[in-house]
Amino acid sequence: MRRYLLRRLPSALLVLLAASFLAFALLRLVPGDPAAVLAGPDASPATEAAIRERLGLDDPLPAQYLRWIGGLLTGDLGPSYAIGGQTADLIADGLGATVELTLGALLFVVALGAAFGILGATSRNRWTLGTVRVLTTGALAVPPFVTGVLLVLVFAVLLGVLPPGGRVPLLTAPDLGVQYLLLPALCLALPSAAVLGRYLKDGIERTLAEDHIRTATAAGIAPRRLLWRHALPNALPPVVTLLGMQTGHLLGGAVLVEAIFAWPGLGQLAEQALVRRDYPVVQDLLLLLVTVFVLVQLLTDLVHARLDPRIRWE
Amino acid sequence: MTTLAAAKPAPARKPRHPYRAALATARGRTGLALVGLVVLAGLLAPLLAGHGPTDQSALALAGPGTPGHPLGTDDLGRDLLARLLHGIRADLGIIAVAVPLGAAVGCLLALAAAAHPVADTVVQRAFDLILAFPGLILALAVTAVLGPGRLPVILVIALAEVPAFGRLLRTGILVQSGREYVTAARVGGTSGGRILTRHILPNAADPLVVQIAVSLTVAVFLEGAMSFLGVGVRPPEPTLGAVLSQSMPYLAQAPHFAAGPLVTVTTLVLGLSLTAEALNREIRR
Amino acid sequence: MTTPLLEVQGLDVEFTTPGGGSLHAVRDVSFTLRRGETLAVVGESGSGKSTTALALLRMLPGTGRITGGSVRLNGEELTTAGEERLRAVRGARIGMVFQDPMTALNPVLTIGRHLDEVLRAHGERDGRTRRARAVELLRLVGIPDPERRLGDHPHRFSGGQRQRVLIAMALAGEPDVLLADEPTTALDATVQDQILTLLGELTRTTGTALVLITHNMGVVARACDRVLVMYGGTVVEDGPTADVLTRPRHPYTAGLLAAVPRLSAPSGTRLTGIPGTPPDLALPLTGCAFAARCALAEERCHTTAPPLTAVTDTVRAACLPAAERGEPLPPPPPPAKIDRPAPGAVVLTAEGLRKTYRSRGRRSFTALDGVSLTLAAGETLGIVGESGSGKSTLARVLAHAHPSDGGRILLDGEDVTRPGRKELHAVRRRVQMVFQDPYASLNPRMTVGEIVAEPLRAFGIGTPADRAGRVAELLRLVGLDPAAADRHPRSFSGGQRQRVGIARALAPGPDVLICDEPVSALDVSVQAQIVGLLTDLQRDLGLALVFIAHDLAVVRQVSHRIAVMHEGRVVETGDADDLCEHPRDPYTRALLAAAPEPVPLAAVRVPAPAEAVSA
Repeated sequence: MRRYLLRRLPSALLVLLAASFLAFALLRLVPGDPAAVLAGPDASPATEAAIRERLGLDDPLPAQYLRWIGGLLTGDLGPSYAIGGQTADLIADGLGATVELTLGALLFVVALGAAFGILGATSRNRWTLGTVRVLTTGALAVPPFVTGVLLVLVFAVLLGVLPPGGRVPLLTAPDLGVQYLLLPALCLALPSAAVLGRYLKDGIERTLAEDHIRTATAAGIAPRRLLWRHALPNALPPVVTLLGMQTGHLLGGAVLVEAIFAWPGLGQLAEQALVRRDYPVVQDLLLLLVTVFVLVQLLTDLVHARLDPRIRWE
Repeated sequence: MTTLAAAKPAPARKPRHPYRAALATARGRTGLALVGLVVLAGLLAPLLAGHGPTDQSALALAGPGTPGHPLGTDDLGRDLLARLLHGIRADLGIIAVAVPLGAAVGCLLALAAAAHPVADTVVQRAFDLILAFPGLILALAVTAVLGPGRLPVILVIALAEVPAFGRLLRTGILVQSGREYVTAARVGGTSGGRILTRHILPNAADPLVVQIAVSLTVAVFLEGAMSFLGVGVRPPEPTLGAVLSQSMPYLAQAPHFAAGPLVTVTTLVLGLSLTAEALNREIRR
Repeated sequence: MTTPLLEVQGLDVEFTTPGGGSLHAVRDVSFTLRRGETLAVVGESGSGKSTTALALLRMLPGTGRITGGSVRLNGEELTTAGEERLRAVRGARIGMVFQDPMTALNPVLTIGRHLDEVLRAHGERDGRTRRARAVELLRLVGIPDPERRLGDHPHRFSGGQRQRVLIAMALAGEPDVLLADEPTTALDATVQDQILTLLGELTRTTGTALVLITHNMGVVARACDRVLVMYGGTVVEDGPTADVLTRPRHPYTAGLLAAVPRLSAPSGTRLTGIPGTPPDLALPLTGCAFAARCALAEERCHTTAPPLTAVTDTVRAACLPAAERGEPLPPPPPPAKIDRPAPGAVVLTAEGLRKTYRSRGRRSFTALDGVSLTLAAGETLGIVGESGSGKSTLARVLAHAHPSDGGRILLDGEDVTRPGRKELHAVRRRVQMVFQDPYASLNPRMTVGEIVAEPLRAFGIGTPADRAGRVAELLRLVGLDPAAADRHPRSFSGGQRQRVGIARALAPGPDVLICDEPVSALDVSVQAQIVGLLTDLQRDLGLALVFIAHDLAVVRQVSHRIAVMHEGRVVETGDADDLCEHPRDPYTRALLAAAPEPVPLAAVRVPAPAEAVSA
């Protein structure tokens, strides 16, 4: 296990390093003087000079880069010029909200995906199969921003059972928090759940057609046990990898869903920072999201290796 | 295996190409018809619309069936049919450039990766890097530099497709290169270039065909999401995503506003999914 | 007489084809099995033997269904039994072992879990008892150190050991019948020998009846008292192994036996294959399934379906003339000696070839470890060895498909070990290769004509206009209709595809042809045809042939000289007949001893029940 981790680590670090270069390059690629862009059109030359000084924009690029990374490692991200307050605080606030949203969505992805996949692969009932098919196709064919608005329309406007947007932190008021979380998490989860469901269905169907299932059937093992104890363990490892990829999609999708449901997370922060051209914040956020994604990938790789005995011995 | 009967000589009729057979199934035909309908509407937009997509009239939020405005008007009194048709046209313009661009770059990188182990490592890490920026985050990063507009949308979609196509083709080439018929061709004196073009690529291309259909749907979504977030094509030019996002505040009050693009996007995506599925089924046989 | 253990009456199985037609895979199959009996079901691809086995347990794949007949186990009807009841039969009353031990075990479960699952399914509730029983079963099938190995996953076991584990699983429920579907086909001869010995011992000690499905007449002779010969979904002959194998009644049985290469047949003899191809099961059958290929067929054979009738007390045959004849068919003439010119000068020499495959990381695998050999014009050099012996690597290195890591290859005395681009092209024109797998070695996207024309094009032979004519000529040369050029490989049978592969190899007019297991994937009757074709081509074109196979009997028949390979080295070379009759190396002796011959044990040894079969 440790050897496997050691083998995977260098490429993950490489990706992180390259991503940090890209994020860093971003601010420097924007046409015009970065300090002037950050300060805004109406700012005084003094403000611009202060920004230039703070970011060290007159230093050579490597020095700027190292200063930035140093700041990241010590937790000192500096102030946000456009939004106000300390960048670290803004990110910390948003992170909590986004993690809550993403984990909530992940729960839906796993539950719905498993239901779609297992029912789709094993059910003999035409109506069940039809429903699963329509739901998965629908979840993939309707863009998430439309799904989101439809969910609000039905559950908040027409039925009035759930709030249309906003957030109450789950940890402060669990019962209320869940109500606020439900719709955005579901909206974020639906496409990924459909993808996962299809993938799992294919995986189970393929595994059920394999020789070892025939062996087990001939040995008199009951169909239910065949599915849960023999076919699923085989179909699972690739699904875990897919789940890792989908977590990335969830992080990306969060930007959109947060905008629809006024969910005060990192996506909202990124959009705000972008609109107000607060590039240092954008830069920090980009690197943070990529880091989270790379870590999730690493984790799923490890879980995959844990689930599939063949990998550890290669 | 001895379970089933041995292959018998096929009937004299020459078998059709598998893709054509796939598209001739009920699933494939429905998919193609749906896609064709939307594409045709986009191509004929200037003929069918009857209004300019940005012409404003005094009628704001008129319902469907209003004389002169079969789908009604939007909040600024623009004809929804015209905006829808031109929106399709704009979307098709973006997608038709972006997806082939992404596919081409991805395939070229995959070919480079197949040429040399060092190139392979570089290309693989590059794909990892692009994939590390999930779709919309990538969109934000690109628009951060370029600002909103048509070009960033194309670039974002193309970039998102590069690793998808690249990885598929790279795997395909690796798998096919190990097949015995490739060894047989090499022993038969066939040159390296011809082995690649005549033997490996035709067999490695199958999953790419399916991926094209999948990528087109992803492209429709990305365009829509970017417009929705306000980082897409600049208003007042209509795209499907732009019209949809404009309609959102009026959803309860004037649902017909959203209906046009919603139905169109769903039709297009459904058509593409059906086509992809039909191709996939045939190829997997 | 007591009721038989298993009684199958008029079993019919049909599949629905993708086109909507129906495929009659098993037609009116009847047989009985008594307690403790060993029965072989033998036949070629498409004979319906595996389908019959699966039908017994109602485990038909896909669209398969039983459309008629009955299967009775101890008098209990299985064709109409409920799922619950069937599950109680599967594993507990009838155990089954499948062909490919590499895929028949679940890769993510340990061996212990495999056995545990089966024992649990048959009602053993106590975990500790199950574990003890699992250890006992592994010991029974000869897995060393069973306690420790329970925790290992399948990929840690060799092919033979996996097959032993599968047998242990099949025996876990202490069944009355063990159904083994080609249990040794995927295994090397020496391992096959061990597994057959194990099956023999187990059935004797436990009193389990054995139904062994196989295409290999040698396995039949080695393992079973009684044999059922199947063809085109029907039973054509049924009787004691000793009778059927030595005095066949049905022309198909006789043809099959004549097509099996025998170790005793000297070098340079010709086998008689059965002409034609098996019947199309999608068509309705009128008359005898074999009539179209039968040399003895009469008018009525094509119109009247022959019933399976007793021709002696113990033998039944489904053949109208045979039922009247009363006599067994005359034994086949001894294999015909073919006159072939003596080998000429040496064309190809290999000296100390080495090849090492490095898998990423630590372990490397030496496939060739100093192999030296010579090959003369017009000579056939046979190379035998088991899987992993390096024989396929040798073929690839000789054909310049892979470079060697060390040693030299000389073509007409010239060093061609590491040729330049131009030189390599020249070498390839003279050294061509025929591959083992006729399915994988043809590009599915090209027509047969394009495939055969590919080397013509590559070597610039003829103008594009001439090539069509040359392709037609080549196809005719390998016994195919030139009209085949427009079709894709998938519309041909295995034997036909192998002919296409040979035509492609012959296209540039090579001097040396390297055949890597060219007949291993083919049915016996087809195998004889292809071997005959290669022999004829050699004689007519003066080719030098390297013939690689794992079956010593075929190799002896076609080769002038034989080289035996083991673990990357040539352990013995010599004149083909001399090597088979007076082997010097212990490994050669082991190979010879393990080769199953289609001669019933009773005919070889004096029948003495006390003399147990043991390895």
